[in-house]
Amino acid sequence: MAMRAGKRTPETKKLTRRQLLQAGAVGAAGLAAGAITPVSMPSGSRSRSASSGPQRPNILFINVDQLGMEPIGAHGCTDVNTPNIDRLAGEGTTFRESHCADPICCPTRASWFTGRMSCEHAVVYNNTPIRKDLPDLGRWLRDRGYEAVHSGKWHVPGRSLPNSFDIVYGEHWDGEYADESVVRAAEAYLRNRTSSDPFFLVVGLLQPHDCCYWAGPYGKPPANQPYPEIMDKLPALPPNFNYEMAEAQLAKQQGSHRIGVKGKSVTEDWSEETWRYYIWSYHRDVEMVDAVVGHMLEALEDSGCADNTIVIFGSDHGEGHGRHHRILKEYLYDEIVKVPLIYSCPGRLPENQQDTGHLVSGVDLVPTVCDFAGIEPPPDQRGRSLRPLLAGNRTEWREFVAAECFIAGRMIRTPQFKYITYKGDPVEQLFDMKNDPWEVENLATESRHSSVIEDHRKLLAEWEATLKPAPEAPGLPGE
Amino acid sequence: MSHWSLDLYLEYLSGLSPPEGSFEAEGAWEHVYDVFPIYADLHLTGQAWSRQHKGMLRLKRTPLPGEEAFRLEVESEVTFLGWLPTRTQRTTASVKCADDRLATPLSWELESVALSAEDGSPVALSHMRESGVREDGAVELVFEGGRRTLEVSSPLTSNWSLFDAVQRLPRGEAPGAEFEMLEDLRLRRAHQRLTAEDRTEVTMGGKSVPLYGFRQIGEGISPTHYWLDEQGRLLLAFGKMRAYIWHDGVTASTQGD
Repeated sequence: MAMRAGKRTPETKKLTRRQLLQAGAVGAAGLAAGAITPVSMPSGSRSRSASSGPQRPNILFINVDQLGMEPIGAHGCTDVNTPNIDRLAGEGTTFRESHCADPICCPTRASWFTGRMSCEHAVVYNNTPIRKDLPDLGRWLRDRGYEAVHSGKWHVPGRSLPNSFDIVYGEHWDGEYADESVVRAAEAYLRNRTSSDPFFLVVGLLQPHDCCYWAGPYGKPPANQPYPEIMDKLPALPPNFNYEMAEAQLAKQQGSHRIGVKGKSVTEDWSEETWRYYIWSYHRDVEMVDAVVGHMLEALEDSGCADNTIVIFGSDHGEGHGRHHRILKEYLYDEIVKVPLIYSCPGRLPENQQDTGHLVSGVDLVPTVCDFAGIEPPPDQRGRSLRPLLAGNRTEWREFVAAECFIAGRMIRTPQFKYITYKGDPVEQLFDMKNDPWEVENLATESRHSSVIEDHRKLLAEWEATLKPAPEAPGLPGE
Repeated sequence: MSHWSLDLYLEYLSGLSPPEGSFEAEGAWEHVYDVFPIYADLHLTGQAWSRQHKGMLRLKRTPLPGEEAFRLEVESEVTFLGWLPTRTQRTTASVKCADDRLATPLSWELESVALSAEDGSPVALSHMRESGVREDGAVELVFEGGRRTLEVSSPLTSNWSLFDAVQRLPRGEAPGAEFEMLEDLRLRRAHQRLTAEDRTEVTMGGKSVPLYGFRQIGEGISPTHYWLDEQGRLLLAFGKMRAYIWHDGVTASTQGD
């Protein structure tokens, strides 16, 4: 299995599997070229008087909820208008092979902020509490000289946010109602702050997650969309809308199927028009958050801090929006596990780059931020710093990324294939992502791919052997 | 049978007292709305919309004689009682609007602050003040230490201006042209269009109240419905996840709990 070269790493040397697994465990220091050194950046218009050493950059982490890789203008979607995310992509690097660590809100957010996989931090499903002894990125940076500030969605259960961040606007569950308030509060912080310490500002936006409620178990989407003026604007159904494929039992129960009442899928009675209206509506949610992201970026520019601030834009997981005949999340197809990830700091990081080769993960956030901040990450990181990739350095890179889902689900994604398995379920899935990007043909049962699937099983087993599962992590019902 | 879009609100509206007396949309008036996030409480209470996480919008219109304009005073509070120390985002604005079909915002002063929802105290570093002026094809925002130019298209309105404008639109006749909306005098929402709705009626305080309405569809918003009474008062405006409902000054804020 050849390691795929990234756009800016034309020459790579394949490492042994053991080396790769170890590299994941030790984080950035293992394979990235050179030692960890802080980025040296000129100050913004507001002066910074660091006590000693090179000035450390500010970090602005804008995260959104339920935005997949696909519905963004910069990624080629023509049914949605996202000028602000597009601009950010143009001013930085967008990783097109970015994957969440777990396609569920709480677990993936816990992975963002701890750098650990779900089975390790124990947030294996929504609202299960996090392991108390794991440091989170806010507290880690705050203890090392950063002003850690949070506005908006957090959703890491069991971790008291005030212990890790100052809060300017709190948790909310409704993007249309409160996302702009989240940004206003963050903007005010940027304009008013006087501290000479660098900041780590996390802005948690909810959109386009509003689609969850609208069509969820209690929502009532119309039988047919009620607005004749948009009939000719409804997006087409995706090529994998109708598919026939064996799936693990747990996978079958996720997304729109899971939330059905009385054993009936929420979407079971949807007409084609309703499906297309759902997608149209989801795109409006995406546009809604795009404008708020634009406001946040403008606020950063207006604060005078932009030159010394690394902007990270990410999403916790994607959204079904008709792919695989589903809505919502909590399964392992690409519309859910692939998420936008953009790093931008014009003048300091390369601009207008699309990294289409490197497999990156949500657990890379902690080592990357720590690398830019010039501090060691917390121990046992499962991710790696993206900084060498962002700098265009030649770097040996990982051979695969892993994701977990709903306690039992596991995904191994290599450059060409995706392997999905659910513990205790005989159904395995293998997709050739080069030739079947819509994931409609399961190759797992084909004998000609037996060595490929065996190879992926081994990768998964070896990966899991490097993890340190939390004893308190809940198991499946009946376990 | 009420219009389908009103289904979620019928029960709540039935507990409200309808506004009484005459109303002159072109004159001086003051409206107060309770603002609810829709669906936010579903998994906790099973209610289709939350009576707990409630905000407020107060709009006060004052004509400016001889200027073909009016002043719109805005007071907005967005509160969400989440798991964390909670905040209310409070925004006040004084907007000079053109007396045109879309109440085009011409100039404004805006102030915002985050407050602790527990005791109302201001959150550190959360206060912000800015002003804006609309000029040809652009809005110039001025704030402490800087300014920013937003390119906008014409016609232009704001979400708050629209609350005034729909009250002055002829019933059953929406302006055909697309417009741009500056939400909260900041977020650009392009390619907006209003469409007139069929007449309907609801029950408020035991009385049948005829309504007429408009809907707004465009980029970056969920389809938004505006429903007005026979006198032209805007009683109800809602998108997919946010509803502004007439505050009758009588009904307890926890009505329906």
